[in-house]
Amino acid sequence: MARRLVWLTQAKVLSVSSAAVFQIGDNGGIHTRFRALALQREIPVFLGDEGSFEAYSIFARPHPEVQFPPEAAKTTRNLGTIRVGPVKVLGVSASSVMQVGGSGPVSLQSRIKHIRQFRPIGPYTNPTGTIAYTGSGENLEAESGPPEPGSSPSNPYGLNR
Amino acid sequence: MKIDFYVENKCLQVGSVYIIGVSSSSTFLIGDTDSITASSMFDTPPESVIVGPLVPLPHT
Repeated sequence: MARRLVWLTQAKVLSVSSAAVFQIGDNGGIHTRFRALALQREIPVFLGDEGSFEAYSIFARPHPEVQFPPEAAKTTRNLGTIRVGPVKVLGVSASSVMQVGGSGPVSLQSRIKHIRQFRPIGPYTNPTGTIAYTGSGENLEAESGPPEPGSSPSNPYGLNR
Repeated sequence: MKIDFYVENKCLQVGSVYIIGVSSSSTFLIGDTDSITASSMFDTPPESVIVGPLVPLPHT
């Protein structure tokens, strides 16, 4: 299929990350895959090799298969040109594509599991004074005191494995 | 049922474009393509809020 010529004045892209593509020119197709565990902790202590994708079903379930209806016949005629002025994009990330030019079939897949971890409600829980409740309304055990004085600086909240 | 799908792409002119972010299986294309299949899963259910001692995530 003949593709249209693209005239682009200027492109500024500040960031391309996490299985993303920024391409100038034609290609035969793009396939990107991305998976992430997005973990937020009230106390930002993270061990380097925590967790695994296999522990969560979101990383195992299949992506839905979408296909062009087989009984349909598609004809495309590309005439003329595309002219675009200055383009500025701050970020391209997580299995995404920014392209200037013609492309073959594009297939993009991403999976993100978002987890938030908080300490139980108690006098030492939240220095900002706001109070968080859980949706289930269960009674949460209050913390009896601040972190133990003997805990090491590299592991101040006593995380152990 | 038979479907005839006919597309005629002609001239296109755009002034300027400013985009903050293209993310999670999205695409910003200046040009032509035959097909785009984009699929994204994002899971943040109520159970994903863990209130308790801060223990590391399970390993398997």
